[in-house]
Amino acid sequence: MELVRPRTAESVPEQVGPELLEQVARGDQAAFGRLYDLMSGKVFGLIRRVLRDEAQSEEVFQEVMLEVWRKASRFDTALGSPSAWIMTIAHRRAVDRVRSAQAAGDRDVQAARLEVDTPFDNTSEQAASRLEQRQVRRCLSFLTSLQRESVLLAYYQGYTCPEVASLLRIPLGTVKTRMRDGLIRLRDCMGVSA
Amino acid sequence: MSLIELHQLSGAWAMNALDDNENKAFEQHLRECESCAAEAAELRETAARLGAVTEHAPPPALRARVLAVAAQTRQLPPATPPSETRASAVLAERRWLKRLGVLAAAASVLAAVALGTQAVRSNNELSREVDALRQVTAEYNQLAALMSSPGATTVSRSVEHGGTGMAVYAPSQNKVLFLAGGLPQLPADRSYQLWVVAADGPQSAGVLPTGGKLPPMVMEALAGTEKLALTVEPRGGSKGPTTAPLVVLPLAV
Ligand SMILES: [Zn+2]
Repeated sequence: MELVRPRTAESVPEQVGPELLEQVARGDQAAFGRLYDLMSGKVFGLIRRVLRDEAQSEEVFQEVMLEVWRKASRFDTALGSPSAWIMTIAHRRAVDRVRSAQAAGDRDVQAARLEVDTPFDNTSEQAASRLEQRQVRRCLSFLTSLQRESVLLAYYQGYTCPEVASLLRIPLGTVKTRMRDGLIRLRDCMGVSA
Repeated sequence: MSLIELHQLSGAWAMNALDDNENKAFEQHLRECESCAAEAAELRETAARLGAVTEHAPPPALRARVLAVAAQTRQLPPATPPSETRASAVLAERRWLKRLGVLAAAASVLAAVALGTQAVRSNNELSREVDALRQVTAEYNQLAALMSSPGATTVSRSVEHGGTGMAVYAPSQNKVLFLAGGLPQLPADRSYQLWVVAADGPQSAGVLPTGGKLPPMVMEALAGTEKLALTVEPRGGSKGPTTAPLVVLPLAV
């Protein structure tokens, strides 16, 4: 059937399927190696983007990968895709680290966070997910600038709502609604169904 | 925090931007508010897509280290302690209800009629479903609205090796509904998987649950959606179809 041809490897990067995570949950170390190869670049890239510190990123990255190993049995397909589950763990751990460093008065972390930039300008980033990058970039362009700024600051910089509000000089309630309509617009543009 | 304020927190929650108190309040709210629960899950999935575009390989030496530590690290057993995953479990339950259960209750009656499968259902089952229907009038109305919306078209085809597949395409609502009946049971290591086929190829619409009645599936019609296709895949599904479709349902454009 011509119209139901499988997508080529070029157009869609290989994803972690639920069955791979099931194998990991059963203690299959080779499966965990495959999961590592599929996800390590995305996990490390996100943590590094949020933390802006190589040494801390490596530490948090190892914690995240071990959490995935330990909690693989707790993944439930009804919650969404395996890669979203893994990326949620990575994002949570990265922002927790940023906030505890900030609470401890770590100036390096604070200084790094002030360098607001776009998520795509780093040439060292791998091109494996070029199609996904193009889609995300295109969809971000459909957001209003307040929606876009709110989403980028919260997700890639790990800012809290009050931090985004003070940075953008808008009321806290507005930040929350902009994050919500911004993500809703992205969801619709990307065709995400959880 | 007012209810209206709570409904607004799904985006900030999905990006870990709430403080601990708000986070707790919102996760409590997810247990009570079906629409927020469904939305929150989708927005978390959306946020994860943002995370997938900053790819950067970790230092190669970390691979051996992580795998070695993992080999020495005890994994958690599958049983989930309620304290840890309560919000997640609630999300899953809500989504299951919203996407499958509720619509199943509503649409299986329609499906039974449409596909002529009520021979296998007892009056009891039907009346339980009718009761469920009464409880979920809103969802039922939504489904009915889908099927009776302007321009909605229905196509029904027999499935190779047995059974019937049916699609309702509601262009004015940008939604597609898929129903199947009488599909032969597959070996335990295989699943039926549904695909939304657009000009640039098929996208998975999910794996059909095994056993019992098949719930209808409602999905967004992506731009350029041309047809639905059903294939047999390894259990749990594939990222792209690996077998020839058993049925293709063209959606009128
Ligand atoms: Zn709500």
